[in-house]
Amino acid sequence: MSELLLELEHVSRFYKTVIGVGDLNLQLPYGAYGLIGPNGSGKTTFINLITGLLRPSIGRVRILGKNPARHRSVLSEIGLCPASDILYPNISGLRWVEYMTGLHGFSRTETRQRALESLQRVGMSDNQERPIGSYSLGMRQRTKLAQAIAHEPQLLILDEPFNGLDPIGRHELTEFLREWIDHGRNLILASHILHEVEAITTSFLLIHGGRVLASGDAREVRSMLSGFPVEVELQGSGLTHLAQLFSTQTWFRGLSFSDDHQRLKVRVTDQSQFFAALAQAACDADVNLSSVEAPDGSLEGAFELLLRAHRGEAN
Amino acid sequence: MLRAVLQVVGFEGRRTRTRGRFAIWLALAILPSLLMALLQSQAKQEIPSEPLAIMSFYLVVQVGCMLGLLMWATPAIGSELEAQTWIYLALRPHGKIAILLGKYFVAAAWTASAGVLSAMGVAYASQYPEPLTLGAALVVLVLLSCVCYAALYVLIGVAFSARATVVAVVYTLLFEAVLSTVPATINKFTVCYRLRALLAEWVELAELRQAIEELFGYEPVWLHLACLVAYTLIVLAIALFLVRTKEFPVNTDS
Repeated sequence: MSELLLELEHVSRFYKTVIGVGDLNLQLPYGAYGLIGPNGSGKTTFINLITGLLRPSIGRVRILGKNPARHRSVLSEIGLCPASDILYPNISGLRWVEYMTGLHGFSRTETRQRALESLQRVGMSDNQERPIGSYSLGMRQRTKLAQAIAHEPQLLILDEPFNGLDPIGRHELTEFLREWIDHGRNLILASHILHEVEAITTSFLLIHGGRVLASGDAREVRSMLSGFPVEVELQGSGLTHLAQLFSTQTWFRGLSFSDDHQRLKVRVTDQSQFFAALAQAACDADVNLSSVEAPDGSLEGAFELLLRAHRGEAN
Repeated sequence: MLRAVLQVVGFEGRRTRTRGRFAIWLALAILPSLLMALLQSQAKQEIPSEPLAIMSFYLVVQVGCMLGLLMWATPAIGSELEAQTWIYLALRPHGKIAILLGKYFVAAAWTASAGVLSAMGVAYASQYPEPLTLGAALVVLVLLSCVCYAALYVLIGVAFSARATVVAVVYTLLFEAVLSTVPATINKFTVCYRLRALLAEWVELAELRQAIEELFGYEPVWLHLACLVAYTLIVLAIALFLVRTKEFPVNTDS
């Protein structure tokens, strides 16, 4: 067995002159990962590459130690729940999951048993005989998940699995995925909803413009950002005085006023020093602040910062 | 692998049991007989037996079978790509090959079942002097036609997944309809030529047999059959190779 779950060496994928993903270099040990990026960032291309549906234009991909485009047997260890919908409206959920499971080569009896069990695990037993055309979006998502887990794969890959789920469905899926990880199984979860990914896994791959901007756990990602300036917005009166005061500091990187001079945005490299200076200045009688908005410590804030850095806006 | 193919056969076979598909099947099975009966009823004089047999052949073995296969074999891959279900199938170790072979068998069997019924009906409605001989020959030719053309259309479906039906129609008209009647060596590379030659042998059509022999000399029945089997195997092998190695367009939205 390979020591790595996923290995990408200088992987690029071009669509004629457009770059789908560019120069990806990754070595991921076994575990659970959130693949996070806005729509169009290259998440699905990334998934298609690691499952062998697409071949890299340049570079090498190995998943569970094998090249998925060549060694198709590795697919029996992978369960994929893609973003695309199931378009077999007249077929029942059970029949479709049976079909998908049977394609792995199980016997008829085992296929049926696995399909029934997986539908039960995702809470679809009561509706499994109904045609897929009558399912809600959430029920179709659960059915898609059932076909992905029925063959008990080592690695589960989910592409935007929360789409269409109501709050209860989201909670149930979150619990299911936590349990999946707790059983020592591997997961790659692609999503643009950060807090839902954070609730499931602590390791992330941040992807944008076809490039992996950062990888690691939330703490590692934030530490990577420590050198990047953040923007703090102040609202109130006496802001000109504050601007003069800040502009001489070493952590100061720039500022901008709103047209009415009631709001000031300050770019700083060290938030703690900035807030110490701000607290001191706020005691001055000429300064009256009504609000202070700084990026929070969430991964979302870190991600926004990474995107700005990637676009060259962070300096 | 075999189990995966059987899964596809079972699943696709069940999907053919809809009212719409049954209506098409019925039309393919009955319309040739109705056309033949209409022709006989409108004929002012007796139609000679040889043109009658050739007409029956074209109606059942060529037009009927080809139409059925164009509908079910050609979109084997394209329909899955269009429905965005390809990604689910391609993510199974033998999924790509199973879907191709499974759909090939279902398309061939579905069309052959309508074709066999049609062959027997046409043999009766044509008022051919020896309806049993003609009927039996047409039934075997229907089976051969379905096996060969299904392989061909499946290959076209894999190679040109986006416009498979258009390419298949153009190929059929150009090669199987036009070139198969041209007195040239290329004629021998068409399925239609082999099937026509077998018809001439089995139904003992003297004029057709003579026309073929004048062009290419005598070729025994086993050679025609061997050519059809070899053709099917080669075409299927190419289709399997392509479906395994070709990169089909998949969703890359997010």
